[in-house]
Amino acid sequence: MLELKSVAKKYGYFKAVDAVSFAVKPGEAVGYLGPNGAGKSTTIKMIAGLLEPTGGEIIYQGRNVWKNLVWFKERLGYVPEEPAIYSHMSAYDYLIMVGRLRKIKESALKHKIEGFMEIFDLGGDMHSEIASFSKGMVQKVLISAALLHDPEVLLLDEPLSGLDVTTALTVRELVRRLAAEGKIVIYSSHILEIVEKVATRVIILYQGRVQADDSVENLRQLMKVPSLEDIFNQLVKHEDPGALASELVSLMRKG
Amino acid sequence: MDLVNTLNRGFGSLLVLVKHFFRRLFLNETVFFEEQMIQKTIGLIAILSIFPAYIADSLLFVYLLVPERGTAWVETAFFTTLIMLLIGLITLFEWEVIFLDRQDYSNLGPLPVRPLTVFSAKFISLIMFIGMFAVGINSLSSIVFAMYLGQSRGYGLASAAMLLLVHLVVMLAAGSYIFFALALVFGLFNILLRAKIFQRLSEIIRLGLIVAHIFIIYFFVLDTTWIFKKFKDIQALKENPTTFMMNFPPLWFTGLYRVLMGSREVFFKKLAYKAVLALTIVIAAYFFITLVSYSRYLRKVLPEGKKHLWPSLLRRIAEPVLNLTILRNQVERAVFWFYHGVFSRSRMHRNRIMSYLRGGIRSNYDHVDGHRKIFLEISVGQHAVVAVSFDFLFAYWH
Repeated sequence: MLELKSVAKKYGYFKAVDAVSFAVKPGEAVGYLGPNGAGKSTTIKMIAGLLEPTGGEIIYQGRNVWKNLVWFKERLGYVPEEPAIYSHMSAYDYLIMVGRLRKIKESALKHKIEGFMEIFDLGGDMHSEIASFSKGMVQKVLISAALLHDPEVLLLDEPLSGLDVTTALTVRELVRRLAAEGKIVIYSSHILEIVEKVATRVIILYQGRVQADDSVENLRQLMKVPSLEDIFNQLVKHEDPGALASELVSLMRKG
Repeated sequence: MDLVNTLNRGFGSLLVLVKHFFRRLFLNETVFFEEQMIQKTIGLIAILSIFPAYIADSLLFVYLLVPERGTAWVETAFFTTLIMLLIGLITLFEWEVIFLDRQDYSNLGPLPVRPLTVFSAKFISLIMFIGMFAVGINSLSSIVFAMYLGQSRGYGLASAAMLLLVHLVVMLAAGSYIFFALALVFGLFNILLRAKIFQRLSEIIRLGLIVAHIFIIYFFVLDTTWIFKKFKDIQALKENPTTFMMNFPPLWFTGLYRVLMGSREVFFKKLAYKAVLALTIVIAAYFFITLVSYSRYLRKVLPEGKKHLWPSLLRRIAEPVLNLTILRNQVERAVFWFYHGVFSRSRMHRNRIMSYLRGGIRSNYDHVDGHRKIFLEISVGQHAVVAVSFDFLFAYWH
């Protein structure tokens, strides 16, 4: 089980993440939702071992993640929000390096990479440098790098960003399948439709704090609204989107 | 058993990362050998090796005619200076990839690798890079040195081979020194300067250093005799060493060269000691600076690291009051808060405004104290005009 206990991240006086607590069991796919700047990516980076929390603990299988970083990272697959990938390398070389650092056997590694590249329709481009790739192609390489070692925990931060429809559907189905196989999946996004279809449970974050943590079904019944979008709007949006759109239009026409 | 496994795994990761970082030294924004990387590198080293060999030959040719009796250290010093300049120039071309950067952090951060393994791999890759260039560009010159000095002393083949080895080792040490010294400059700027200033200044400094290096190397080729004469003067200084002489890095490595060749002279021993000490210091400092500048660099570049400004309590109270009273539109508000920001963050501007106010108040006090009036009667033609004292006005206007 992956557990966050009052995890916080402060920058000076600013609390990016404030006492966030939740636990994810194996087999659960959790949707991590929130508007821009809510602290989603910060939380994900703290779990991934990239940003040290200023408070609280992250526990996996009874061990403190930040005291056993290498051990935890061996079990972790992470797709970052900002793809700052080595652009001078080819996709194949990049995945070979990642695979070797993850101690995947050489014979299996090459076979795996070629398979991933074929499925993601990058078979013909895998030896080209990543600098020439589109955003979606880079995302496919990052997803492959996160899945290569069959991780126990999967952190996906806006994983469908830039992906074509077919690949997006494949990834969506893959997330479901992985959760069914007993993996822990945390899926951070602000695209509610996808989260609704992928996640068995949602955590809604607003201004660094958890606003709701339950299954979509329970939240619907509890809040008496028909969709996740309505739940989200009630919890984190206090303005009427229609009124805001009208205000924007009038601002555009001013002057 | 666990420890052995951990070490084995760590060693495996180290090898993968050394290979990766070494490759990255050739595949970056400055140098880009995408195709036939090995062949192009060999070609470059071959071209670079001809120039030092030619210089070594013209410097040492004289020892075919006159046997060397402990005077060749001057030529060695001259030659070491040249090699250090060449390695310095190569370092400047690799300026951006000397330190770990954001890409390294983003790509290696989520992987199960210890930070120490990453730092060590980077360091080893740099040593390999310098080793390859230092040994490569000295491959021909080492033969020239071994041939001329070996023959002059009547050495056998084994001794000449030893001489060749000494030459390569010392040039590698000298090259490493200049490489890590320049890397330190880069790291220090990274630590001391703000992100924007660092980015701008770094490029200017780099350009300046490249121009200086090329100019001096060009001077070596253009007027070898003149420079060599200057170096010849230091022969006389051996008995009476000056501070400059003892602090000139190429001479330290010349001292090391002579000591490794078997010299027991105190003068060379002192220089050799300085060479070893300086090399140790720059390498240790590089490690330290890498650690410090890496975390500082990340704080500067990561989106999470940007400073979050939270309005003070005073501002939260003052802002609506000011908006209601004197700041009536967006332009006035924007101007007011801009100057507020400038004065609250810039000590220079605060001091300047305070000095204006101080000058104005003092001048007015003097005026009022002297004339006992704020208004003056001025004659304009036949009319007398009553005006506010110019002193009073201009006192505030600088």
